[in-house]
Amino acid sequence: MAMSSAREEHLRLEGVGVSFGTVNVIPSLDLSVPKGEMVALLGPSGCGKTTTLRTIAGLNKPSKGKIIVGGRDITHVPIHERDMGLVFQSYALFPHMNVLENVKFGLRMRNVPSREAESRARQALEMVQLAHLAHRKPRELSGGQQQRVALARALVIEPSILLLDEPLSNLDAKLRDEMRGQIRSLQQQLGITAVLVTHDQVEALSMCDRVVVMRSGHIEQSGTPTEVYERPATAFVANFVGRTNKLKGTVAADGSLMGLGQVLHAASKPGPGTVDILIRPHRIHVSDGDGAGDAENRVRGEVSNVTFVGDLVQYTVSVAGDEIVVEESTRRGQKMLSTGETVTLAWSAEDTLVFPENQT
Amino acid sequence: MEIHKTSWPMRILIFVLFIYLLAPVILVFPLSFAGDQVLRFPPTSWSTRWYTALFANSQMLKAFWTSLTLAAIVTVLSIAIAVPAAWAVTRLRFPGRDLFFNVFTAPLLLPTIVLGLAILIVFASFKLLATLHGLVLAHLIVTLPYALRVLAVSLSTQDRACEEAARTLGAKPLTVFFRVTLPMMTPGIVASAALCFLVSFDEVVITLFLTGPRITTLPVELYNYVYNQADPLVAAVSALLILLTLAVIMIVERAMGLRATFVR
Amino acid sequence: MIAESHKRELSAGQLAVVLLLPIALVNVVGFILPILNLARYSFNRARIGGGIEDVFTWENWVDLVSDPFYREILFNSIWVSLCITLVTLVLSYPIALYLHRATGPWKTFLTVLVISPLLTSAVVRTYGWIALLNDNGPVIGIIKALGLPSPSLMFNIKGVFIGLAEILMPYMILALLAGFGRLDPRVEEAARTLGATPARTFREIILPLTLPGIALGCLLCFVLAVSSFITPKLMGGGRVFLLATEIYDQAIVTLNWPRAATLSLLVLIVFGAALWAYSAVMRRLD
Repeated sequence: MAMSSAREEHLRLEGVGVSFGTVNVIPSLDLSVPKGEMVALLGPSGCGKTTTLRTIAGLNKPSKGKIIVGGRDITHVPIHERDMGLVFQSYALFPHMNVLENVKFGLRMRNVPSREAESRARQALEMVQLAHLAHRKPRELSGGQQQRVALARALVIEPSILLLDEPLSNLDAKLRDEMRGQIRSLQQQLGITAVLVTHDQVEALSMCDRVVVMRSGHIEQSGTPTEVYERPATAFVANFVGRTNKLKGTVAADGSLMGLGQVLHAASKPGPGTVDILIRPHRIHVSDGDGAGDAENRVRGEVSNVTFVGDLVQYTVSVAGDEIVVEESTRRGQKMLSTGETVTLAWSAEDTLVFPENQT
Repeated sequence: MEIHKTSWPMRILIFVLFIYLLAPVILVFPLSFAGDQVLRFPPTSWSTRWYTALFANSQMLKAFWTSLTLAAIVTVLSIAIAVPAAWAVTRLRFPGRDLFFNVFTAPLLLPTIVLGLAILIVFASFKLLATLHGLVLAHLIVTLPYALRVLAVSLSTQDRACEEAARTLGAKPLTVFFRVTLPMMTPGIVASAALCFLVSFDEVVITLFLTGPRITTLPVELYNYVYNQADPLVAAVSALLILLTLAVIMIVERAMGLRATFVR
Repeated sequence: MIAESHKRELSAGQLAVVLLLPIALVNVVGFILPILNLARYSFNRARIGGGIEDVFTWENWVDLVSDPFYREILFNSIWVSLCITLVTLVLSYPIALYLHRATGPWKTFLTVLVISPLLTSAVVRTYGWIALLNDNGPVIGIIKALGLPSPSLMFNIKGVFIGLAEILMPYMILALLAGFGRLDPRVEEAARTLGATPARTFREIILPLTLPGIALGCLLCFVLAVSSFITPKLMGGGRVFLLATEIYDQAIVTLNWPRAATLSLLVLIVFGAALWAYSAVMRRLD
């Protein structure tokens, strides 16, 4: 993991607000991205992540606030002078130009002499392994190939910042896995500062140095993938970044936590009152015995449903009127539990996430 | 979108161009209230004399009624003929389907001057000149392609699943047509009826070849009037006609959306 | 539960025949036969005082080619139509682009404004121009008020040009809009983020991608201009001679139907040539 504190800040948004007509889509946003880092803007549709990205690119005008790149205030700089590479969700390749001409376009706009532009464009295409398709038209390429051309086109101009708007959402699952790795390694290889917009937490967690979780135009939490996953700041973040079981509970005046009809242990608890208790399905261990071991939380219940999903098996266990989902990796030789069995669920205090009620 | 903010010089240019586009249509309104005997703008005085003159001009009124009747008959016939044709062309598969569609919409592409002459010659030998049924037939030639196109678009963009659902629920094909397809076509029918009405009502070149002292339509009567004297009476008629057209357009907009009908 | 009907089911072909019969009938009697008849007539000879001699002769066509009067009409019609098409294109493009980028009720309002002239009679629109351009009208009035020499805009080709260009604008705008519809806005944005100024984006991206719409609009306007009758006739005051006015005069005034038919076929030939040019351009563009 990179030592982000050692890197200088490259991109900063200060109090940026964006409105469309009378709708205040983003009230006020503050964001800081160090040089060479890839940051994910993660959130459900409508949270403002794409709006933020487009505002950085200059495609939206902020109603207030400042955008600063490398110490320079670019809030009022026109789009074509911002020196950013934007990869569109739909790729937006120029249909009337072939692949090579598409990639050369940005260089031509910068008046790069044509021989140099040609060789740089070819290099960029080689970087994404598409040099052999240089003279094809975009409509002759597959989705994955078009995406790589879009990437090459954005990178060849050596922009100060790379912006990616859900670049993988139009690809099938296998291709997505491949491209995740490719994009990340290219970004690190070139050391380019990047902002990635996505609604897929797998993308955000696996590709980026930092994840910014957004909701309704606000930032819910900003941190490393581990921080955001293990120590979510709010129930919304916990629920969005990974699956959770949600239970109702109470924190008493003396600080003790009650849920599932018994005392539960959590690493940190809010003040007294009703709370939401969130536990991740695969952090719960299920066994048909007493559940030996040193897990702080232990409850007994009855298996009500078993679903086999290949990599995993999901058990739904009824405990004190609540249904808890538990996930375990399938292993050869390991016997699957069956419905009706009485089992013990065990999990640690650190995996018990407690938030004041109704934060989701 | 930020990239499309129109600059001020551009706005002024577009405003000027719009004035050019709409000038004649706008001008007839104030002109119709001119008090002058001859065509002059700005007029030396204002009055409603030309509207009065219009309603006293029996020839114009008679021509108006003829146009109205003709357009009404043509509209009803156009819909009656085009609905089955559009259905056949979009719902059935048969050899030469596309060819038929192209042939039936071809009259749209032909210049009316050529069509007018061609029809004149044929009608002369069939003694159809200056008759109402002759005019109906001639107008049908130009309205049917419009009706066919609009209805074919309406039918082909319909969700076939509704018809299929009706079939699986036990409806016979004819029932499906009258209970499901036809009601779903209503916006398209309203739009093409409005279109046919206006096309027939405004038709002038072909009609010019086929009318005479016995029977004449409003556009032809106007043409003759303008050819001979061009005074503000025509402005009064024009103003009323434009209002009529706008009223019909409003109906189309409500029914099917103007853009969907024309811009494909 | 649902038994198959005992009625003999018509095959698709038979059903099609029944449903298409009315429209086919109208088409044959009112369109196909008359046009074919027109071709026949162009090879007949007119009898003095009306009627035709049933002989096969090339003389109508020979006259057309050899008579300088007709050569001039043909050339004028084509040349004027080309010029009008170009002018209409230049005037319509900004409006079409603005309309394409407009949104919401404003866009609907503007579209209605652009389309409604199309649905008014040619006579009404031409009359509007007569009212505007005649010597007692506002245009001459403004020119005189500015102290400039006032040109004569009625009863000559100038007035016809100005009027016809405006009358054809809605057609051009609609064709252009159809072309713009295929322009992906993201492609424009991509060009801008890659460093293209608005002007360069227009030249390199928007213009090439809207060429099909431009070609269609030009075809449409040229064809309408070449065959235009009402406007030249009413605004030309008998002094403007174009193909359409000549056809009418020959048919109704001179009663020389064969000659009128020949001129009509000439219009169709020009038509065909324009269509051919259009498809050639479209093939190049692909």
